Amino acid sequence: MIMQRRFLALTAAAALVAGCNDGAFLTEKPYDFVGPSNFYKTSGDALAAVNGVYASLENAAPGGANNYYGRNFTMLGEFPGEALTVYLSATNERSQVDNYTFPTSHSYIYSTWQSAYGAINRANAVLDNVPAIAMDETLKARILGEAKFLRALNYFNLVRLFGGVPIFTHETTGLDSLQAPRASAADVYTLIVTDLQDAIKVLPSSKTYAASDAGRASRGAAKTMLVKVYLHRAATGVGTPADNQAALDMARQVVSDGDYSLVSDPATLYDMVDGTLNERNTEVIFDIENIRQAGLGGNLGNFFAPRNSSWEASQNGAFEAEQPFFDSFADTDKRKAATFVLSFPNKSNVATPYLTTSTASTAYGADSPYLKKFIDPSPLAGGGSEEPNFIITRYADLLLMQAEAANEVSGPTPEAYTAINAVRTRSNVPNLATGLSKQAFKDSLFAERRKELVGEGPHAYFDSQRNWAWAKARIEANMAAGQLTANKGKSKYPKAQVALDDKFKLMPIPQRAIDLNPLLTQNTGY
Amino acid sequence: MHCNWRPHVACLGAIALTAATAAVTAAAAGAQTTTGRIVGTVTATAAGAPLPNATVGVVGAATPAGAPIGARTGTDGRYAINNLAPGRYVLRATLLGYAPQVDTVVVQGGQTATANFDLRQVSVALEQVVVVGYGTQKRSDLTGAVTSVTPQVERTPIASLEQTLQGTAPGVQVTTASSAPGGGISIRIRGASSITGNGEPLYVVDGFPIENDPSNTGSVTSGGRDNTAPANPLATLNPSDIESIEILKDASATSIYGARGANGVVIITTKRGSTGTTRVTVDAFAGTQSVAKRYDMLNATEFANFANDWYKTQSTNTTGALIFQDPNSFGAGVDWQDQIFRTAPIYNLQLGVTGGSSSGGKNQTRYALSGGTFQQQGVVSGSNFDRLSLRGNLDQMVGDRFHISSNLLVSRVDSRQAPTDGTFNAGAGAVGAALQYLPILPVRKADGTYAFLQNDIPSALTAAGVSTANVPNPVSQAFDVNDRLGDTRVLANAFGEYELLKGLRLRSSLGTDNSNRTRDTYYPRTTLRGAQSNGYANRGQQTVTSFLNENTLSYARQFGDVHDLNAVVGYTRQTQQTAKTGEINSNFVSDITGFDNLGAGSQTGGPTVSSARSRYTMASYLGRVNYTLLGRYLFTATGRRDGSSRFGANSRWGFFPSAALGWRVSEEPWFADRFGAIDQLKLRASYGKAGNPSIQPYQSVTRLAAQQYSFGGTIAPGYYPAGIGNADLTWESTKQSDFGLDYGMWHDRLELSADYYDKRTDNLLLGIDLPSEVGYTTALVNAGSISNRGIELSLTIRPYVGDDKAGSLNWSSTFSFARNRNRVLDLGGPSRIFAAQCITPDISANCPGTAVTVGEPIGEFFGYKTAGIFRDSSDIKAYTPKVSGGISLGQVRIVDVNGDNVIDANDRTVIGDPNPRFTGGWQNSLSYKGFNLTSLLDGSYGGKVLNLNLYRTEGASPGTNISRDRYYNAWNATTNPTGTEPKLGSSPVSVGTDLTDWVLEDGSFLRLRTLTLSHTIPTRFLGAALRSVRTANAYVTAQNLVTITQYSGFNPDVSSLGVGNLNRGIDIGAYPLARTFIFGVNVSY
Repeated sequence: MIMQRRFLALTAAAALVAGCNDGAFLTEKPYDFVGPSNFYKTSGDALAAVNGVYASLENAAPGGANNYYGRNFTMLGEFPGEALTVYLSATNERSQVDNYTFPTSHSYIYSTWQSAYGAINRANAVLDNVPAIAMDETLKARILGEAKFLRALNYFNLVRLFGGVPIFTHETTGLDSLQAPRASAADVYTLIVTDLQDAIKVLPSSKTYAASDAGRASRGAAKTMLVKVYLHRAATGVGTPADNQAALDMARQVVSDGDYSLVSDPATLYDMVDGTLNERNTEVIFDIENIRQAGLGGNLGNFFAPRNSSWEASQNGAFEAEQPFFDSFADTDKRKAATFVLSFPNKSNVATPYLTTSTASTAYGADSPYLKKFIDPSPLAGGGSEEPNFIITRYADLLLMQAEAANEVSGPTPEAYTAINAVRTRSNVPNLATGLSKQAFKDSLFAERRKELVGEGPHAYFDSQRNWAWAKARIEANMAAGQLTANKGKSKYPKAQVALDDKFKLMPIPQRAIDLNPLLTQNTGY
Repeated sequence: MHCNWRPHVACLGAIALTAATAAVTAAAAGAQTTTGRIVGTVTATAAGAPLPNATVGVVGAATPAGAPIGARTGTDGRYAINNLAPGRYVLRATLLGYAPQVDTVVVQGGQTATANFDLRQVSVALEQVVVVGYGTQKRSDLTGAVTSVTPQVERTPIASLEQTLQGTAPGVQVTTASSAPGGGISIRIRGASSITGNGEPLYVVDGFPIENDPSNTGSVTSGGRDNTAPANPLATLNPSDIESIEILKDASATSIYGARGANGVVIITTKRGSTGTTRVTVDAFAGTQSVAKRYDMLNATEFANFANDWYKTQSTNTTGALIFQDPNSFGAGVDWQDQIFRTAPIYNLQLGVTGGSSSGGKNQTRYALSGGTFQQQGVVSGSNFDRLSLRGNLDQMVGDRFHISSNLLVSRVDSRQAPTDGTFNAGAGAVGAALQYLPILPVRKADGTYAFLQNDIPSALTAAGVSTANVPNPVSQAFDVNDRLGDTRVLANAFGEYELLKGLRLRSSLGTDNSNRTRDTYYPRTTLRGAQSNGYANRGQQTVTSFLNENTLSYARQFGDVHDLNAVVGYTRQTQQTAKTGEINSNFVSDITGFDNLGAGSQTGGPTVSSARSRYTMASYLGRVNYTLLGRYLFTATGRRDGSSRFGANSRWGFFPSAALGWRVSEEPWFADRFGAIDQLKLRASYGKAGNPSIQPYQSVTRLAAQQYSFGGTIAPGYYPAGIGNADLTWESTKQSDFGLDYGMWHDRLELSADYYDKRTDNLLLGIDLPSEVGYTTALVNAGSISNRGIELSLTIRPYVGDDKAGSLNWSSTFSFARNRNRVLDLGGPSRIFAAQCITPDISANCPGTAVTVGEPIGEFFGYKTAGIFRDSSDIKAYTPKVSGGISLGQVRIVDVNGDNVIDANDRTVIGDPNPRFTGGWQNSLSYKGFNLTSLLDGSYGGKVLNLNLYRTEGASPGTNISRDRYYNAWNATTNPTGTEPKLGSSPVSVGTDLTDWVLEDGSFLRLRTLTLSHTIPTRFLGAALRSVRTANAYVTAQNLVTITQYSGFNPDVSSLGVGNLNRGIDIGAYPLARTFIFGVNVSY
């Protein structure tokens, strides 16, 4: 018995002595990588964390530069309009977006879904982890405001593309209950509005940011986005007409804050081919600040550049202006020369003009007017390193939205005319005819938005959602005429003719997302 | 008569007990008349010396109380059994280490009968002490499945310890990843039970657990080369230092190693000293190696003929023109295999001293010291392997209760790798390049520089439209690439053990395993790679440091004659830290200083440098109870609770229990009576759980990745959560049941051990796709299951048992056989997944490589099936599927698997399974008058090998050389309409980027792995000068003398892409197998 007691005592003692701090002994300490346990400690970490959210816009992970603003999202946003098309065959996935023949498994739709949610998780990580950091409270508030702005931007992209989507407001830290059902579009908008209102309270004016902080979300950027959110919520039937008044009030605030003004020459906004870019000018409200360095530059120029031009990093040229759209520009409109490439150096640096009279389909690369926007004429090999900033929103957009809001509230008021004419006058376009009906004013306004903002944003598909009948008629007309009239009969591929069913007001929920999360329901009609 | 003769616990297993029926008879007889007695002597056969402590029992007799009747011999070997009723008695004499002997004696009343026994010493297989985790057990008391292997290094020299397991341990599949000196090996015990995780067993060297996980610690750098098997981390151990190897296979045996036991455990025990005598041993051998088998390729004249014949099949050649007007002018040309293969020497010298003080139990000292040098040059020029090793083991008793012990193993390995394996084009190794290079090309051009396939083929070939790939010159690869591996390893541990009370021992140990590995590679300008980058250097260093503390309390005691208890509990902690650095530079001023002066390079953008560091910790509580009732009912219960930092925070701890039962049927009183010929029959059953920690450090935690962003044109740092943590990530869990029997009869002339096992592994570590709404697209989770079932047999027969010194013949023959059936049960959702990587990235062939399919064995090859060639128009008519590019006579027929009349990606299917149906071995040892002949045959049946060398050698375009078989058997409408190979110019090996089963071969083989003749030289022949020599032994041995196989390559036992479970049985320019002849001596003073 004595022996047994000793035995037990010894065993217990050994276990006690050794076992008391197993927990600490077994905790992993990262050495050669950054993990939550050695991050979120300083203000520098907080800044790095919010910078990581910005980085997801152009260089989204997973997948990299092509997945979000760098290509796929921009194509989803711009091809469905009647302004731009692509030379590729009708079954190509880019043409499918142009033709409204995209399947629910379309890779651009899924990658955009993934990228937006990746960015949301990054923003959620900031919002979850930064509050506990001991640091300057003003800076902390700004960082949290930036994160909310970016979360709102991504949810806004999702709700515009898909309607109601699952809402996540915290960083995903475990693998439990990962499948969430779709929230209603109204709930998504509520989150967006709340986030933006919170952001507006803490974000500084763009004028008070240091030069080296240009590109960060500012008070004006948040307000401008909120204008668009209100307009969109009202126009898509999710909100109430009161949203239009809220949009108008917010737009007036942006104007009266005086942070922004139109630049005198639109060419300086985006024409790096023939002109000199004036980046970080007074008109830019929110953009992606690109520099000519791998991983930190733009990616779209490679797709905007004419095929076979020396401006391509690889042979991609994809955004071609549709002929009726190109023809709609008056020659006196400054934007015509600033927006379109009518001559480009080919791979041998031989100037290749756009042949307005040619009907041949052999002028490879010269068969359509291309856009000058975002083209870096001296791209680095490999792409993804273009100099021009990608403008998501600028003051002209705000003025046009002010006009839109005013018109929605009480028809084409002088305020509405003043706002649209400011944008027209800047480009040497006569004032809009007076006395228009509310709808006629609205249609003119959207035509103006196309001309002013083509290729940026993206805007086209989302603008169409706010004035669907007008857009539908123009798009169907282009389709009915086929590519034959749309691009002067030079298309090598007949385009599909699709009736623009109302289901196209939203994109389908990606099939792969439904496969992985059966709680997701498909949008009506898909 | 009482049972005071009962032997001590160690002999318990050898006692023959009695049956009740006989007891009744004896008791009845005793009542009738006066009793008699039996006396006699028990002696040992060879020496004739009396044997004390032997047991002589009366078979089938018992006292009225039921105790067996018998007696035990004294120091003079004499025994006496009194008070026996007259009658006929069967006596059985037993002693540990000796074969039991039976005799029949007639006892008459009042008289003394005599029965002498002459016991023969036996191999003690059943009585040997077996090292199990945290203790030892007698084999007869084992309830688990444990195979013991004792390396006979004196008789069968080996370079690395795993060679002792090949063909000798059933259920242990040893695959040679590379036959290069020090090349990688892979061991699977009872099949593959992981998909992405490590499949190698846990090694325990003198009590120190070492995880041999190639993905964690295996490779320093790739040396700038992809697709090659990592070096063998066990090559640092000197086989001559190994006393025994135990392989723990079933759950009862492995669960004491808890979360690391699921792949089986290999326990390695090094030699220790013994008291009494100081013994000096010298082992030395020298030998020569050569390539056992080569590819039969075309010589230069044949190649020129082939090129001409090929040209005739080309549609561009409308006139029937020839490329080479006079093929004979080329002669034999260059045999590229000759250029890189050589006959290479192998040497070994080992000196050892063992001994100890013999001052009884108190303050006793035992020691073992040895030093050795092993040098091997490889059969591919440029490769070699040198090992220096030093070992010191010391055991010291302080008083008679305190035992201090230490082990020290120090080794240094320096090896040079000849680049083999790899890929096909620029990444080809010397062997792969040698098979491709044209025999009409010179080794060097007139200016002395190497000829290259792409740039230097005759213009006549290029003019005919022959294109060639940028393959390095084989000779430059073998001779000029300087690729050095170094490894300094120190494995040291020490323990103190104190006997607190009789049988109760407290042991505390400290140990460390330190490995410092380097890989330094330089490609000079004479090589293709070096020429492309003006010299290319790649250096890598890796330090792995592991510390272990173990504390155990063990208790062993026999209670009366009935209960025998043996228990251990313990607490252990282990940490392992890995630090790596790497440097790459190129654009060197000159090749003179190579990798030794990295500063002489000026790579664009500066040298590439890298470093990494990781650490993991484990804490464990363990316990085991062995209980034996009446010497015949055996119970074992084992449990280990493991905590590992590598597991997720929510599942850091796992419990791994097991239980086993054993029944020594032959010890039942009724048994010996009826089955006198059977010495031993034991039935075993066990069930339990063990784990595989497969998870790499930090895989369960969230990681943040760096991603910069620019604001206002200035770059700002950014971080974002890039990988989701999984706090539930945990071990792969294997539950295993095992049923076994051990059987011996006719005095050990026949021994049989058989096991059936059924293993199921759940919680397989797999990557899954997540709903991307959560911000991540993939995560590592535990999902999926895999099953391994099989049987293992080991049969030893000894047709002749005698004393070879006395001139009688000794023959022992052991068969081993194992069959494992592997089946994937679940993949956590998908029904099939693919290995991520293309097998041959540089030719984009066979992507995605191997497949894992639910319901099928793991790692199957995936591609198109073929069914011969189209010989005539009726063949073409009968073939309805559409083939891209059309079909023509002489072309290979691709099978339309899904029957939709189109050959496309949907026709890809499983084309073969690399897992063998069964494996086996046959060992023989024949000795007579001091001569001993041993042989080992081993074989594998039914596994397929993907021979990617055929991708080129069967391709049949003159851009590379082809095999004679391909050329001479090529179908031709006029000259060879019955040809079995496709027409020249038509490649049967791939469709698009996928391979066909044309490159798949049967990997079955039967190999005479060793054949050794040794002679023990009688000391009387050694003369006065060598009077102190105690034993001297000389031998000659041949390794890999004969291999019977259908496989066309160097060696069907191959795995060029390493040791994972998804890429086994693939041959890409693998290092050829060597045939070795060795002469050696062992002398002991």
